[in-house]
Amino acid sequence: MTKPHPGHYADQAKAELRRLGAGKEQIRRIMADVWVQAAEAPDGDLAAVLGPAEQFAGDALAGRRPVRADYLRQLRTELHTRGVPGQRIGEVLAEVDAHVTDTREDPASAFGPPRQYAARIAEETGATPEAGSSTTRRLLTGVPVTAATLLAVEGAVGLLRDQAAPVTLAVLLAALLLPVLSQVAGPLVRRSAGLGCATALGSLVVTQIVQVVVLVWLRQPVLADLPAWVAAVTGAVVALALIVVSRPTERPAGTAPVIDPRPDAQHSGTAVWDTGKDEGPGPRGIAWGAAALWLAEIAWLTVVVLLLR
Amino acid sequence: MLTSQRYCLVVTADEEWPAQWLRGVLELCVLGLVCEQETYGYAIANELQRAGLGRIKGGTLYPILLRLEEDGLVDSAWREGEAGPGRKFFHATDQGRRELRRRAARWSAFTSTTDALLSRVLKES
Repeated sequence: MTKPHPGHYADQAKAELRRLGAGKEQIRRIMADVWVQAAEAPDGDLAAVLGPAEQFAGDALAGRRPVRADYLRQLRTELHTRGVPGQRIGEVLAEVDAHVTDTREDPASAFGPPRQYAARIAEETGATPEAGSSTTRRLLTGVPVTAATLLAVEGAVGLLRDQAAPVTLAVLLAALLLPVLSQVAGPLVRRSAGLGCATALGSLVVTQIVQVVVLVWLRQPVLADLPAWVAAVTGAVVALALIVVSRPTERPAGTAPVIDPRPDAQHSGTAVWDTGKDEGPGPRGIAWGAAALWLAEIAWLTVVVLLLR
Repeated sequence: MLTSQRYCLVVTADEEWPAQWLRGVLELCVLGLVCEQETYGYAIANELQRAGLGRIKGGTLYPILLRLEEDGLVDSAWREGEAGPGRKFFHATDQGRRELRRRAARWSAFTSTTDALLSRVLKES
């Protein structure tokens, strides 16, 4: 009689999972637990440890067996929040996964709560969250960009209506105050997903409303009158130059992919690593994206102003 | 018994060494084991336990290995496992071996010093 091989059991379990309609993600997560037990199984006979493959598959799918993927996902998030580079995150997750496979403990007992372990790792690697952006730097680019936006819209409207472009006091104040608003919103956006979305959306809406009000109604006092084309060109050049200058010099740590470094990664099955080589936008992509968004903002503001004035 | 001290998680079955003492010397012991032969996390933990230092948890061991790697004293490589996910193997660099000799010598001097002090104190009491 041939010696039972863990692979046969795994194949049977997988087949049963597919038959029961489990998704790819679920199958990968459950198979990870199979490998945990494989080390313990005497003579590689997993059935002796886990019971019949079909029953195991049914139990696992119904959630009657623990899955370690949750710990790894939490750990990944905590590491990311602390600014640990993507490559290191991939290594750490693989280490935890491989170690608890060997020791057959649950990850929290072996490594402590995800937050605590992530803090330890961040300490060892000297990672700092949000490295490289300072308040002053962001305000220094925010103020001229806002001024340039308003100026460009005045210029565009002036060109379309054959008028001069006034530089009003309100425009100046808005250029100084709106970037402060986004500074305040920043920490709130990072706090949590729900609050973050609400804050980002609210901040965007407020900014647009303020800009419209300034351009349509707060047209006195006028500090200077510029030819429309001067306003339009100056605004565009300043804004686009600042976008180019303030783009990140390299891929931010957060966008590096978290790849499972193990040679046989398809066996890991916990699906908390990134698949494929998609690394997100590089500095060039970010600059092009920002420029496109800015032009869209100019277009929409110009249309609104033309309609409301 | 579970002892925890800041980020150090140590569970010991037979021997119960104070976590504070282990924090001082674990890195050196781990470096020593890696210099002895190429090895991986689980095997290191077993060796430490066999040597009488208690059961060292992954949460303590891997940050130590990470620091050793960041300091250039060890290198690591993932190898395919026989059954299941691969393992991360650590081996010592030349700098690591030099550092082991240096630190072990200093540790020896340190323990001699404390032994001498304690013997004197105990003799007097």
